[in-house]
Amino acid sequence: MNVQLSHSAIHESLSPLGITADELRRLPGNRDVQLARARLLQDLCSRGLPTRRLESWHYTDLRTRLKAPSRPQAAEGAGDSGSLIPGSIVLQVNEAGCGMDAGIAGLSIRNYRHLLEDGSAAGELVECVADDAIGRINGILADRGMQIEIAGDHRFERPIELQVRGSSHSRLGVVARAGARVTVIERHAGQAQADGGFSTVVSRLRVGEGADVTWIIVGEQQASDSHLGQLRFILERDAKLRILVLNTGGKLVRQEVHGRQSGEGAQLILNGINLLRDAGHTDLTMTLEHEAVGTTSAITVRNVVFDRASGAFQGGIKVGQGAQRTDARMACNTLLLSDDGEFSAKPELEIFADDVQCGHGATIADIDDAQIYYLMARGIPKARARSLLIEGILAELLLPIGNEQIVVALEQIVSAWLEAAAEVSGG
Amino acid sequence: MLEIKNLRARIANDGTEIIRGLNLTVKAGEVAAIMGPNGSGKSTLSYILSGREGYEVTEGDVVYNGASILHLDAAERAVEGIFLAFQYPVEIPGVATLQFLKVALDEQRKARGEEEMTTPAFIHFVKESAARLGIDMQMLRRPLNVGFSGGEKKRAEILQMALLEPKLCVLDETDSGLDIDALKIVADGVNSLRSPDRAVVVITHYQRLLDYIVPDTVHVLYKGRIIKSGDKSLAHQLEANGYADVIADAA
Repeated sequence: MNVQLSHSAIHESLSPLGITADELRRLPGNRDVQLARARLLQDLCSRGLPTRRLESWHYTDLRTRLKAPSRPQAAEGAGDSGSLIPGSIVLQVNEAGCGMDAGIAGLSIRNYRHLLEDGSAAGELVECVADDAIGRINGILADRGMQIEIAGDHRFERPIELQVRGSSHSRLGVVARAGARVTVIERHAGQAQADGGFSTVVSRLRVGEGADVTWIIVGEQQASDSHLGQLRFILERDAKLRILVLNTGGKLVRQEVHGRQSGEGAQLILNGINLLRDAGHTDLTMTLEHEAVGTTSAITVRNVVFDRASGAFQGGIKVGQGAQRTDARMACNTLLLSDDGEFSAKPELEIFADDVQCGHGATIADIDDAQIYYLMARGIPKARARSLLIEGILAELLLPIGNEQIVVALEQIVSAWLEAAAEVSGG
Repeated sequence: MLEIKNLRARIANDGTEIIRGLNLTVKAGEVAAIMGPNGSGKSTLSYILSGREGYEVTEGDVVYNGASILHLDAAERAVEGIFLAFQYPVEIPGVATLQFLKVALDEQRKARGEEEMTTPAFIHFVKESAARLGIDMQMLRRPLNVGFSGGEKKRAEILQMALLEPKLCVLDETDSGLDIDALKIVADGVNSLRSPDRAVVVITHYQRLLDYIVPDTVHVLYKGRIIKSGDKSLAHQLEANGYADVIADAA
């Protein structure tokens, strides 16, 4: 395939991404990878960044919102922020791909840079859904990452923490073979950069037959950062996957989750916590396809909105013709704590099977005054009472994680965030 | 200890006046019972004493230990030592009862400039008080009041009272929803807290509770005012004859 693009078109398309054509040419990749990147770039040039006119981008107009800094600071050498919980297997995602050889039985890790250089990554530098701007942008820019394989029947007690820092574009892949069990923490930390950082991460997960995976995405962006994340997963027969997404804000954050339950009896729990403040915008978009008999999904998203922040949750569940006895539940609950904040929820169900149980609901509310009064009547000041109630509402979503240490660490992130938000907003 | 002077109060939303010139004095060490028919303003009085938002005092004052408390919010009043045992304790999903107790105790101590209790000391303290009220520690690991039976909720209220050691205890219809065994346990709990420097205001519908928590004074609340006061025999008189006679006399 021959790809011809004019210089001006390329320049125009790359400028919001903060990269030049020269820099693009220097990204790692053999000829196949370069071709794959060129195809994605051609799509980007011809369609531009998505606007609200596209249905899946209606609540997050990327064209007006995304302005990456032209000179991103290198993410390398950033101080080690430590792991979420002690004793984790920590893998830092950086250009060099150092620390890749963990030498742990049952765990094999490949540097994604090598997969770009030898061309084996070319096949997956593609879009995964319609109007997949994140897959496109990340496919064009990705220069680092890792491909991890958990051997069959290996059960990891220690979580694997993948640390992604600063302005960078990474691809992460995890394959959990049959009967494996693992907890993966995908941790995005922004980097204090005056004009804001821009990062993208695309993660691909395959959960093999009877394997059990807990996948935790912790997004801790700075107020000026833009971040686009995407998790693509596929569940084989009787696979179990628990996903927790915790977003603590940023100028522009969109996390997508696109999944397929292609094996009979596969089970998914997806819990999302979006904490929104200042003038930030956070978007959690999910599509899920039930493809096999007897698969279940339970999706619960809870949002807390302070200040002038805005956000959206889009959840699309499709139950295919062959997916009889599917049980799919989706709920989105928003605590709107400011008159200037806004949150949009768009749950969608598309059902082609006739023997299924599906339900969805969305609520938007303030905190219950009677609960505040009760806590205050015991001497708890109003601001503390509010945060205690919010923590309680969110804590329920952490329960499926099971690992008490991780739950406590995430609770601490939530309560620190609430304390900071309450201080600025005056309770 | 507590002096309510010619108090008039209304619901802020719609202006409905509920308390209409109420006078009441309760001394330290005293147990005062407030009785009255439905709609007389009993629960509203408990809300106003505890500082619930949504009520406006239009006249009069509530003086506690020599100073007006009307400018204090509910949390500040609790720190000052005012405790309301709720008629309907509120369910708080996601907040474990023990965690709530620790936060409440810590916040009150912090506000008074006292040191926080260590966790082992706290657990020991809770265990002792809970045992006396027949409360299983397992129950305290559950979310606050969520799925508690009527009796468990009321016992949890009394446990909070025992732990927070207030100076003025207001019990709002604490007997409602209790069987006789639970009533005795709750009454024993209250009685064990009676002391010369603590006052208790028992708001109730029925005389039954007063067989177990014997009051020093009994006051009849009707249409937002105290229309008759007496000793514990007044409660028996009300039980035998109903409120009609007292209301007729006051009219």
